[in-house]
Amino acid sequence: MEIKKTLMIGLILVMLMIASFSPVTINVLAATTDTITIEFDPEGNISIDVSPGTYNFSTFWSNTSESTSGTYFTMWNNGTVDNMQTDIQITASPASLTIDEDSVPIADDNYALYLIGGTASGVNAWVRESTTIQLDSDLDRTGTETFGFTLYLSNITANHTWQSMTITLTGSQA
Amino acid sequence: MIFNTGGWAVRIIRTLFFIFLFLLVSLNIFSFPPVSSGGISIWPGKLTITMPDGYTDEEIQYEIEVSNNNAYDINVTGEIENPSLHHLKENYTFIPDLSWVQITSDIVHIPTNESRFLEVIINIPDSQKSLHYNERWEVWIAVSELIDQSTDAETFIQTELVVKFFIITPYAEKSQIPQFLYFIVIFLIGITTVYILYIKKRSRGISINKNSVFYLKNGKGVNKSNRRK
Repeated sequence: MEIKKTLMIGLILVMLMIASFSPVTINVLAATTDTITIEFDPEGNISIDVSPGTYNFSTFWSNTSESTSGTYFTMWNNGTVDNMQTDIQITASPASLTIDEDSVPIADDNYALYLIGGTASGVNAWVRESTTIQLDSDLDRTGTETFGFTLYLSNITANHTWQSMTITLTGSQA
Repeated sequence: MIFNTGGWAVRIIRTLFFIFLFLLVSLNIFSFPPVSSGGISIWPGKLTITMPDGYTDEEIQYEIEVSNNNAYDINVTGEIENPSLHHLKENYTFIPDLSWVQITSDIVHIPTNESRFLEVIINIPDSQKSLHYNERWEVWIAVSELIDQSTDAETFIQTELVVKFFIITPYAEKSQIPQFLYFIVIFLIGITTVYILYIKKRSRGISINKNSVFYLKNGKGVNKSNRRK
């Protein structure tokens, strides 16, 4: 009887060991380590630059317009990837005047900005706060793009002091 | 004689040299665009995150490298955005909640010609995981240089670079069976197998004993019959 009892205990211990080292148990316990896969292009460095960084329209009279030249601003793709997409969006501050017009004549107390794309893109479009304009959809590395703007000011019914605009160029890999 | 005619020959060579120099300068100015070495650069431009073994229990962290190529120090900031509809990749949708993706630092200072990292954290709430299987989301991390807008009445040009994050959620729900159950099941199967083998062996042993009893009995019987005889 003693031998049988020892044999049974031995068998149970052996089964415990087999169960512990079985592939199913190992795989299940190993699954507690979460796995994620991250894929990226190791050479995919993206960079754009624009010069000059500012423009001053100076004093502006109502019901007038003023243009920078169509090649006043230059944008470079300094990154290592081709097919860069660039979008233009505008924000105005302070928002005492609205800049969301897409045609002339402009409603009172508004102003509008018209994008004059260079020869590379040929894009001519109204730039609004609510939408983005694609300046270039395929700017290759070391490539350049030129552009400028025309500013239109409507009839002014109230006193306004100064107005700033921030034109944001968003570059992304296609 | 050669030296006597050298006066006009030198003049011609000098004139040709100046014409060549003029053409060289003109070509450099008009044929090649000025090179920009400023701005910022980011790496990588896009990346895809997949979760083959189900949703992770912990948040996913990833670092974006931002380099300052300007000749001066800058501050950069990152913002989580949805792409515009016309940029949204085919078969991808917007992430259900932009707050699931966050950037650890609001503003990062980068000295000239140096790089820093923006840490992006993706954390999908547990309550939402079961609602979003086999989905594909596109999220943009827009990194921009903070510009000094202290000058009034100016038009500022700001560049913004985008890292495209593609997130592919798991295909199906991870098994909810407690992991120790696998161990118990294997253990029980093992014990049962051993027990069945033990019973079989025992019963075989008993049958042998019976045979031997019969053999003995037969033997005895033979002996008895022999005795009777």
